[in-house]
Amino acid sequence: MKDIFEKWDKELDSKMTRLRQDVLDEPIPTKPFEIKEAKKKKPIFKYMSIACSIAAVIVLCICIIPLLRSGTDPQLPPSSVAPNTPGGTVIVPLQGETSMITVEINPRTLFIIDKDGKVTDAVATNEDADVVIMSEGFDEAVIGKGISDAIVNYVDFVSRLGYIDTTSEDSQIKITANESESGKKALSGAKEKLQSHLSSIGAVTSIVDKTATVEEICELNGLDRLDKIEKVVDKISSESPFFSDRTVGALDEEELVDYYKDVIKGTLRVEVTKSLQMAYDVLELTRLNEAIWYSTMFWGDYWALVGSDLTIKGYELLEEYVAKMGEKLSAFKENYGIEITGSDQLISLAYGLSEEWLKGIENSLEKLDGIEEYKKLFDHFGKETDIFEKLDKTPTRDEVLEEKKNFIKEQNSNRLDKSKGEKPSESQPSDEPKGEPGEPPTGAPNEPSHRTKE
Amino acid sequence: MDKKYIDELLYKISTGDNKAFEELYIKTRKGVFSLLYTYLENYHDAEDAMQTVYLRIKRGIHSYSVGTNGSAWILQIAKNYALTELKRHRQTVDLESVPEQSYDFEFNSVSDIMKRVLSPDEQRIVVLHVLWDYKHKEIGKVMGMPTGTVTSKYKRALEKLRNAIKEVE
Repeated sequence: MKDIFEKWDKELDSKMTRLRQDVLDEPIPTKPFEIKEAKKKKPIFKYMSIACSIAAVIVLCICIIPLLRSGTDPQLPPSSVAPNTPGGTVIVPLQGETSMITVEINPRTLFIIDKDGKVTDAVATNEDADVVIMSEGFDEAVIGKGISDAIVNYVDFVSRLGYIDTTSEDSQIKITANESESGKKALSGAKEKLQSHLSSIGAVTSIVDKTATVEEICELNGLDRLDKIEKVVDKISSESPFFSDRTVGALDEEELVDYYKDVIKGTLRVEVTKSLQMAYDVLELTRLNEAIWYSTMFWGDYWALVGSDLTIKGYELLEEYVAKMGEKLSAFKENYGIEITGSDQLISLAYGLSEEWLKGIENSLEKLDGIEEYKKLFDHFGKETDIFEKLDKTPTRDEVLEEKKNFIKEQNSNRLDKSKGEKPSESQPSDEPKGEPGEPPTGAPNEPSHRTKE
Repeated sequence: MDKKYIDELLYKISTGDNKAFEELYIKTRKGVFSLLYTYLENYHDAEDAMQTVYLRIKRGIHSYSVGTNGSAWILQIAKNYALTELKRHRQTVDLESVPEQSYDFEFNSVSDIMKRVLSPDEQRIVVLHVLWDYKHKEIGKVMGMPTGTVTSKYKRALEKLRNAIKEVE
């Protein structure tokens, strides 16, 4: 082998270049050498705390999406969330009394389970999994549950967060167990339960199961290669369950800044952009619906109109609003997996956006050194920034109701004062409806006074 | 690679000796480059990364404590940077098209064969053992593997290399 390595050495020699001039010219810091590493680490921890709090904010931004979805449409199956990336792995290594389970569906989470097969801890082993395990309700749904139920609940969380599209035939969940009997048993139980759950919600995701050694599982999870489950459990129990925390702890100052910029900020940027896009769409729908409501002189909203046997022929602007609303609703369903079926639901979404989302976004933006920097980022990526102003100005639910009450009162008194022959088009809003997101009436519609019956 | 000598060079660099820095580069560049190459799998990326690694060594010289294993410190910087680069590269690849993988060593050169026939772990073990004079036990510590695993992987790697080179010849 010696000659091979000598040849290799020569090859490398011939390929080596000189140091770049800027590296050579870089001045050597003149600090005395005695400075200990611990002192240098201080700024790392300073950054770490920032990075950790940012990680928490990321979750806030992301988690609100499924919360809103489930809050406004409880029947919504998890699979109807906008598709992201299909595929995944569930690893079930069980050995001896204490066991561990890793679930990976792009988000990859390591579960520790006790001798009774109950999950005692969940550890994220990639960035996406941080988002999942920080989700509200995650602990209740997973910790303390039997492994089969925990995996089913985990897959639901992952699906709701859009990491897997269970309606896609390309989506796949891989389940891998270690080679012990208990591992195989847990694997088959989990697979069976998950399969039945997926069938019950009409999912077409396939499950692939296999076995692996503890070392292989460690490697797959990016952990130190340990040969015993107990060692793995000891190690992960002594560390943060969040991947971001652990990664940040291992980086030097410069890498930490890179990590912050590339990973945390990048993830946050993507998530906030998604959230803001949804917010923007909801506001647009709300305004269109209001425009329809105004155009019918408060007879009814979009759903009342399309559900009635009335036609709107001849009212061009109203026709345009209705057509646009239909298109926007279809696009909304396609993009976010949410079918809006009435004003109540729409106003709930707008309300959620104005309250919770704004809070989350504001917090995120603070961590990104303020709204101005974020606006610059949005500009850089060609995103509209006026959404910040719009969201900032979004009133609370009480304010909206109060405003609506006053508006209706005002309109009614105006109508009484004015002559009755006024055409609806005169009171219609312009092409760009100016109304704030509000709550159009959702009760039984009154008889329209200015519409043509067929 | 003489670990004591590396330590000495690092000490000299810390006192502002740029010649010692150049000497360190010459002594360690093949090891640093080869380790980076096992991660980045591309000559140009590894070459760029190597320059940055030495820049970081220079800038961060005072975070190193004399006598605490200079080569391990250099390797750690290289490894961390390679992982950061990989992550960044993955993100770029997600957004753009997947670039063609390019091998910038001559076809059937030892580096090329190593890349083709050895797993990344095996390559790293060979790099650490051959270019950095690391014992299997030390490699085990660095890579988080039992010494036995390192030994068997190293043996398997040599066998694969030997067979592959025989085939070529």
